[in-house]
Amino acid sequence: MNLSYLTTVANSTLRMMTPVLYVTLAAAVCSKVKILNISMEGVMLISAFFAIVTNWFTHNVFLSIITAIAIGVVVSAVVGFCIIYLKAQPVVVGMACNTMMSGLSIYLLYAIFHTRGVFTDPSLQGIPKINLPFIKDIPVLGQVLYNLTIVDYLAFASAIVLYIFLYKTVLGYRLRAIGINPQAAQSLGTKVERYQFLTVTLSGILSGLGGSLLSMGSVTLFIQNISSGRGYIAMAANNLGRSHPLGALLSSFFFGFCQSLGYILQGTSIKSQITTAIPYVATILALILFTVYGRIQKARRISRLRKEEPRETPASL
Amino acid sequence: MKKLKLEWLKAFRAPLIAVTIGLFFGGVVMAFSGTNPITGIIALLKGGYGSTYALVTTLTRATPILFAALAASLAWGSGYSSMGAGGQMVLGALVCAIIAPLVPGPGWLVCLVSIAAAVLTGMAWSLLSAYISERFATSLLIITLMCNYLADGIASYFTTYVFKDPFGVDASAIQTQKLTVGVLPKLIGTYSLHTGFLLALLAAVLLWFVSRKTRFGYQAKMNGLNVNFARYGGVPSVKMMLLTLLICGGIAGLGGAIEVLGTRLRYVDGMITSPGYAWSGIIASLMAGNHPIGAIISSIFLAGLTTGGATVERQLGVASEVTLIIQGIITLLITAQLVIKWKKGEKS
Repeated sequence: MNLSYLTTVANSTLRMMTPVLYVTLAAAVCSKVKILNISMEGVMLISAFFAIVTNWFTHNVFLSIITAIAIGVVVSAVVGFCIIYLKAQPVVVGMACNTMMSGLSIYLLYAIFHTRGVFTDPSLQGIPKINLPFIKDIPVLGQVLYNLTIVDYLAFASAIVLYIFLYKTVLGYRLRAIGINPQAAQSLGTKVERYQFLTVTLSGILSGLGGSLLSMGSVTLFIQNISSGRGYIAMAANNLGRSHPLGALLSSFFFGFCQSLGYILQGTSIKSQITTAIPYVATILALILFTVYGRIQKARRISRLRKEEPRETPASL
Repeated sequence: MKKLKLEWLKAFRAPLIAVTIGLFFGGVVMAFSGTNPITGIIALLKGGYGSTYALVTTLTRATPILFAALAASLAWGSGYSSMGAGGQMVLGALVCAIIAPLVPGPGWLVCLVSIAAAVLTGMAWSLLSAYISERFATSLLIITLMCNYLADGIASYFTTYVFKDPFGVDASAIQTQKLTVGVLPKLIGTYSLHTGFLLALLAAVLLWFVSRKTRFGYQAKMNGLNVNFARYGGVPSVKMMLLTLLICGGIAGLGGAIEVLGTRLRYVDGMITSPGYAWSGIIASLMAGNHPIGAIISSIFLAGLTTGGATVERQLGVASEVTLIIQGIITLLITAQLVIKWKKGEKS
């Protein structure tokens, strides 16, 4: 277990975590306004696909990312419209969206590129990797940050920006008030439905960025179902991070670490079926431990309160 | 009596309109890739339901979907958003395929024992996720999703390393030994349809009966309509949740076993997950408003779309996944009750 091994793990953890971080943040803002959104899987998938399509026709990375964001926003808007204005069951809408997007991406892959499964081409442009000259030469940090793209860095930045937005601005405060009690917010004159709809729609930006990172980040290609459950993992990560942007940062780091651990262990004698299961088992265990820890904390707080205020005992018996 | 009949028809109207709109959009999508939409839709329907062969293939495919739909209809109808049917089916199928060759005796005994084992496995797996969700106050949706991935990994591991077919000609095929006794008999000549389909129908009727005529069914339905009201009315919520999900797991496990004993005669890695039986099942149940009898129709419909999709791909060179788009649109229309709301808006 030498240093270069550890830096490799750290580097791959960072690269694994950023797409998940984007969708976890999307899930977090949606649950902040009390909307159960499970459509991130499909949104991410279709954004990843259209990023590659635009890339193929224009060879312009910037345009591809913009397309991914636009598609993410449009699909999220449809989902939000169905959930909020048509009062459809959110889980069903999400599942319908995921089914549709999975079908649409495969259908269009076949219709446009006449291929099934994987599409890649040497002319496709990946998101440029940033290796700043002075950071690159710092021994450990340079290797940890090796080959990260600007969209990767943007993921960390958006977690912090979202935190500031939600907890330090009036608008963020208003959004959180909706999540805590929609009726109360409504009675104060907040246009609850409009805010909810806008939040879900704009969460599409995050999912879209996550999608563009999937198909143009570490690798530049599109594979059938490239999102491979990350949208669902994000729901678990959001649960673990208690819908807090910084919590999302920690929980997606945890997930990224489990995933990169899985990939690294594949090189050893441990079977791949076990290593791919690591993130899922770890998620379940983490959720359990989190609840148990919360309960212990609560019990401690109660017993401390009891000690501080001893019950009045009868003066004499 | 007449009024009752009209109510029945009304229940069908909205889904029918949704299906029509869904197919229309399917045609539009097909038109984008230069296929005549009318030819495409006709080929889709003909390939799914238009001939004896197509219909029999569709019904065979509908069998596992119906089992998953029944499990989902009980869970979702009782207010538990469980996505776990997939994992339970996978493990049920795996255990069935492992147990069946080990049981001595006549075919019916082999069937009985291996099905029982599969049902128990499905129950255990479902109970595990239900227990974790209940005991540690975590979302059942998330736990069941994670458990599905886990079940997949387990099944894949055991078929690859422990129970791999020793007599297989093709060494790269990840599958268990082929069954020779204890196979479900075919229904019509050499067609693929097997008695498992009848079992699925029976299960649907049974579930409908339970939900209509028993105390458990009533309590489950109350729970689904309003948890707080049900609790107030004396429905034990924890016991109810575990019991409901236990039964769901049993149904899904049974579905897995039937697929092994009726169609594949062995466990093949990914045989449940890659056709997406469980997802189709959940969608079928939601389309039917979690009604067991309605689930029969929607399961057959969805299975037919997939069968027809394969035909469309073969004949017209359009990716069969166009049916997934149609499926998604129909589900969206039904759940959003767009048709009904549109009508109401027209009136007012």
